[in-house]
Amino acid sequence: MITLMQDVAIEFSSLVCRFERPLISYAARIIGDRERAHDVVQETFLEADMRRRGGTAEITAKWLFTVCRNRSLNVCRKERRLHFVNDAVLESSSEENEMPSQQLEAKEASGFLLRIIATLPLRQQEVLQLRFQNNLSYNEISEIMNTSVSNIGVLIHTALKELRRRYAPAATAFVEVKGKPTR
Amino acid sequence: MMKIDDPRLTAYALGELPEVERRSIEQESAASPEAQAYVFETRQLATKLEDEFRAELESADPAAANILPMPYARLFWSEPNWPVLAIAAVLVASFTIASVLFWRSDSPRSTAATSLRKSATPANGDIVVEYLPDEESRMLDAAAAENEKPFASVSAIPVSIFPMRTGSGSFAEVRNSLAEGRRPPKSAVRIEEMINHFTYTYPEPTTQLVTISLDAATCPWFAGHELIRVAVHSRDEQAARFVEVRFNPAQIKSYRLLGYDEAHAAADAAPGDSTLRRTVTALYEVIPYASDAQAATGAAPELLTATVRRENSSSEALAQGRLTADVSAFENAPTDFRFAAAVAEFGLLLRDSPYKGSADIASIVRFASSAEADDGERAEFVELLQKSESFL
Repeated sequence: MITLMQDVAIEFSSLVCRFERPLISYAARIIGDRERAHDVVQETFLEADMRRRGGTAEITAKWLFTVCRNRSLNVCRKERRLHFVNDAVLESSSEENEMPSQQLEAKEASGFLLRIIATLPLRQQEVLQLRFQNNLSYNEISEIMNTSVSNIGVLIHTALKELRRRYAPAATAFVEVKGKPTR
Repeated sequence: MMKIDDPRLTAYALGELPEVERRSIEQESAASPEAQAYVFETRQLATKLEDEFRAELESADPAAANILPMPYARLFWSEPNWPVLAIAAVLVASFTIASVLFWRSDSPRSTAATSLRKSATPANGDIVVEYLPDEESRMLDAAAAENEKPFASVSAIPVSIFPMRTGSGSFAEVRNSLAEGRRPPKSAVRIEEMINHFTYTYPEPTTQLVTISLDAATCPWFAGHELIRVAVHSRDEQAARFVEVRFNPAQIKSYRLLGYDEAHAAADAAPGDSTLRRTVTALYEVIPYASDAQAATGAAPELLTATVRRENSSSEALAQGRLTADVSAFENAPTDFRFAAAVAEFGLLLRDSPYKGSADIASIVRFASSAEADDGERAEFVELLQKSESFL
């Protein structure tokens, strides 16, 4: 009994250490409020703790993000935050605001792409964050977001296309010549 | 002509296609410079995205990361590291942001090893940011390697659990080693067993099956920390199986259960090694928030709730106790509390724990002698302490 509990404690703190920030960042994207996101992530870890103690189930990144997402959506529903009422709204772009040109000039500044991402439809933001911040596979993302793998493929493809479209006008040197395939 | 605007091609570029599809795309794109360029650009964009997303995490609000190996904070203030202070001062001056966090996501180690920073609040209220120097980073690695539990953040993990079960051989092993003039091996020094080797007096359960005693005092080996004693005394051995301690995140920043360090390594030990106990005494070292806030509110706030349960966290609560923020000076703590703390401090010293703080044998002897209470076993312990003085 001692062994089991201590194993949980040891693994648990490394779990928190590894996933706390990525989860808060993900929840904050959905809820739009960092403080509430913090609460949601704490609840997620509590649930993980319970789950570990209750049985032999492994806590995976996929599990953490799924629980975190569901809890975040619940906050949105309960507090009528955002536009998380139906999927039609989810698919639409939250704001169709192009970057002001002076911002485009600052494309090399850090966070340039992230600022574009913030204007994409929420589901596209989610897939980008899960794929490129958390290195999750299409498969894992489809389970987290409760949709098909091919839908994830479409969401990522569409999001990257949009990023490329908005980035391109200002990014003349985006593709390094030396690396470009010969024709 | 190959279709470029195709989610499959994006998936291919990101390495997401199954083998068969991957091959077919490779064949198709071999004849299409546009497709190759698209794949190349997609991968470049992916790398840029990964970089920006990583930078976002690194610059995130440091309040988000709660688990701090705090014992090093004091080390920092007592032996100022001037280059570090200078960097910190520059940082404080240049940024209005509270602090900066460094995240080493590729570290294979647990909490202790991946926490690369700490902050402390000096009297003037400025928040000082410190880059954790290599030396300390190594010490943290060592702590992780040696199976010492780190402090746990209450806001992240408010509940701690310990069983009404401990092993029993540790005290004898330590005693035999010391009697032969040898320092006991670290694995033999199991603090929870040493504490529970001794007999303490707790109120007998009358109407209930189980009683819980809770009290708090200042921590003798770490200024600013507090010790909390959770003692459970049960009438029926079988009833109480484990104790769940829920800390109040408004009062306690982080906690560390003393002992139980070897449990991880003991995974393959014989199951009969530990026995269920009628009485268990556990000590938590906790890091409280600054106490001036509570004075204003009047009533002493609650520090924790302890619940004794039969099986797991959803099973029946046999007893519950609350501890309010009524922390006595260590010298004024009950005799049994002081004695248990002296045993724990001796354990930290014998283990050469990274969390031993200012523990030293002379004060342990003093605490233990003052808490001897005409008990033969305790007197024997004081003798043991004296034997170990030469190599501690």
